[in-house]
Amino acid sequence: MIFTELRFIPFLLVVFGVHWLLPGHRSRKVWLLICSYVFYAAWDWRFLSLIWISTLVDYLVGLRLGALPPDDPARRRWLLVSLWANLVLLGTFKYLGFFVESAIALLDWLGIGADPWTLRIVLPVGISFYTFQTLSYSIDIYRGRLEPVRSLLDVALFVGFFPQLVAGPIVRASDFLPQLNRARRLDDVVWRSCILLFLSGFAKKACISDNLSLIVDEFYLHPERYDLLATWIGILAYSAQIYCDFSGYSDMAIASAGILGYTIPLNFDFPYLATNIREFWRRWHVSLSSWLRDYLYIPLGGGKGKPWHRNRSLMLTMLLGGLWHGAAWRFVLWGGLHGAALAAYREYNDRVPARFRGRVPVAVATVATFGSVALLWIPFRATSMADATTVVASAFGQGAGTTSADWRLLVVFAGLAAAHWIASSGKPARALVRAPGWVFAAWVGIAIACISAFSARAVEPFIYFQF
Amino acid sequence: MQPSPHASIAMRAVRTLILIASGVIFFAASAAILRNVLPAPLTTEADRRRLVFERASPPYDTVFLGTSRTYRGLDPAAFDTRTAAAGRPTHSFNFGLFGLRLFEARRVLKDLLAADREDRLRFVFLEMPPANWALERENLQSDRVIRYHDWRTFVDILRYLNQDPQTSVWSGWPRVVPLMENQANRGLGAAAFQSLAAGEDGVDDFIEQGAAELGDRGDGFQPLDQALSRADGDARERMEERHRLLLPSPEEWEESIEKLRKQLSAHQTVTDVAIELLAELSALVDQQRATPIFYLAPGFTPQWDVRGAHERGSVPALLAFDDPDRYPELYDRSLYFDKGHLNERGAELFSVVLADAFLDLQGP
Repeated sequence: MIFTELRFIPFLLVVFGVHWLLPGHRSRKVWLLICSYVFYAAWDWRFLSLIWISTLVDYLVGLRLGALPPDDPARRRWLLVSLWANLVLLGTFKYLGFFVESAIALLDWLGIGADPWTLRIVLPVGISFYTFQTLSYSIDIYRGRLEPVRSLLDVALFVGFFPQLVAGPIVRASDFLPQLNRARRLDDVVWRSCILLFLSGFAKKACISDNLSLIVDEFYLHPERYDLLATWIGILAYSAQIYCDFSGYSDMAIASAGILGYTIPLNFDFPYLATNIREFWRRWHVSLSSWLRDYLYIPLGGGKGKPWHRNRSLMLTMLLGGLWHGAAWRFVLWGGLHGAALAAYREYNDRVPARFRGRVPVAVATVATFGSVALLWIPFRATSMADATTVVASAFGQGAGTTSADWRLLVVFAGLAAAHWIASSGKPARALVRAPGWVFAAWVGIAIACISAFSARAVEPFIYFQF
Repeated sequence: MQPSPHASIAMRAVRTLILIASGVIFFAASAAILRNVLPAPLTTEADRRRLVFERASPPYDTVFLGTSRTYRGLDPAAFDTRTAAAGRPTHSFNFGLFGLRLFEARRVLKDLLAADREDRLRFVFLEMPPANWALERENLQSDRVIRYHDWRTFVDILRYLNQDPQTSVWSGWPRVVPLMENQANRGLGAAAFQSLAAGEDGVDDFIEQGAAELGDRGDGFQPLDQALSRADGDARERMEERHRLLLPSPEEWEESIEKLRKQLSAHQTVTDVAIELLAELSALVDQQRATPIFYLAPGFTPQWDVRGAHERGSVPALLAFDDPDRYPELYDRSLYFDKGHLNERGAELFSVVLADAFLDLQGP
């Protein structure tokens, strides 16, 4: 079930209605858990078992960790059980086929014949997201930052809560579990913000991302055919598509949780307005980048130590971050390039005096950062390294393609950029939230009419579902 | 004095309902404005045929609107040759669409007539759609179905089902889905964006994509045996299987003819709503200063008995080819690709027979 599918609306309304009609806090939690599993089973009920395994392992590990004294060496072993169980699940279902194929390719390259066989393992939707969530639960208990939860229901709902189950945001146990201790109140729901966020997320996904996918799919099918203008339109289209796709999903997830009385942290903070690559990563997929920072980068040494050590930690984190996105070398390359850009920016910060750095106008820094990010999306989206090279060459005028595109699409992108910039101030949203009731109702009616008319005819799956 | 909690809840509920009603009103008004402002999308086969019809030079003056029985079984070239030989030449176009239903025909006809910008249309042949109102579940959200499910059509369908003794009015409720999507203009703006992305050549590309379906002469006619000879892969296998399964053996063929004779005397009664719709189609063509001619195509699919309606004047001109005793030459097994469709030879013969009947209808 996809948030922009017609059947999601009655599903959400039923979940919402029954949730608030149920009398007790516990019964509401049971209801939400059942609905979450139904939501997931709409894809493939068989993979519910993986969620249950992950939930149960971390629930039991959490209890064991809580029962042991802080200095007991057995705590480390129990943490390893959680790490092992979750990473085996992730490794088997997401990466095994990739590693086997890579190993065969390597052996072949070395001249050692290997039987060419391919594993056909279906990727369970959301596995990258919920395994990271459950890992954070065990690690936080191990670090003494979180008390283990006695209720299996609460842990199961934390892992399986349907708004964020399949494509994030990656909710931290410390953010979500305390919310399950207190009964939610209908009066606490911030209706207007939720409606606003849901509709803006829907518009981003259905009206922008899904429509742009037509251009992007066509472009990346034969990138060698296109000239300079068409290539840049293809690059810009994918940059807008992936942002609107993923941030749109996150907005709808946050809003869906909001009307049920739960708070999910922000996942995107207008990342294309970042003035440098580090700021970009503080605004893009915040729940993943902060997870990688807290559970990978800092344990690897973080920003401490010699420059070489710091950059090594950064590169390793970004390479693994790239691999998290998909079992393919192009994702690793994408992560590596971002790691290199982050390391270069750090060096620039360390070496160039602040008085010179401050002279770069914000607009120039923003455009340069966006341009870099847009170019770095090329290996992420291209279907092969050869295609990625072709697109990069065409983007710098070295392509042989002759097919052009309608320049008016650049006006569409300028409009999107302007909307992104205007929305970042928060003023339009604040004005709507504070407007008289009938103004808000009118805006909702008009917005739904526009979203419906401009929604793509085919509902595309969310890009991040494959991760 | 503080209002009681119950009064407060009631006030909030009333206020919420008023706000929801305001939202619905603004939605409906915005959707209506968008419907009139946004350009017509080019997504369906009807759009493609309309564009070809509109761009034809010299313009067509005769058009055949109907189901796949028209599309596969009516050869405009054979028809035109016959009328030219009789000294009353026509230039005709086949506007046959798979599974065209009576409720959809109004929308298609309106668009078709609007495309006749130079008022060159003289004759509009309207095939009586089969007596089948049902719609496959998988088609409920197709562009084509959404396009014609406006309020008026939806109400007509419910009225029709209410009048039909063999169906229940409730069986029409799945059509609420396309109605909602129609009212919300689903995909209308996206199609406009798509045409922008496709550039100036988009319309030509759109026509070109379906050029094969328009037949060798581009007049909209493509017989099934010709389509089979050009198909490959899965499509060819499907067509061959259809040919094998749906063309009965000679013995079964005779039985089917016998059954058809019995059916003729017990044709499905046409309802008042259907008659109203037929009269409306007729009036639309009249307004264009063209002549509407209804016809019942040869074949074995049960059809509405519109002879009564014709006698009462609701259907002004009717040519019926559904009687195997009156037109035995059209019921020869060798002229059929399957039980529902003529083959190329059959189409040629039917077009000549139709032209003759048309010339007779016109008088000396």
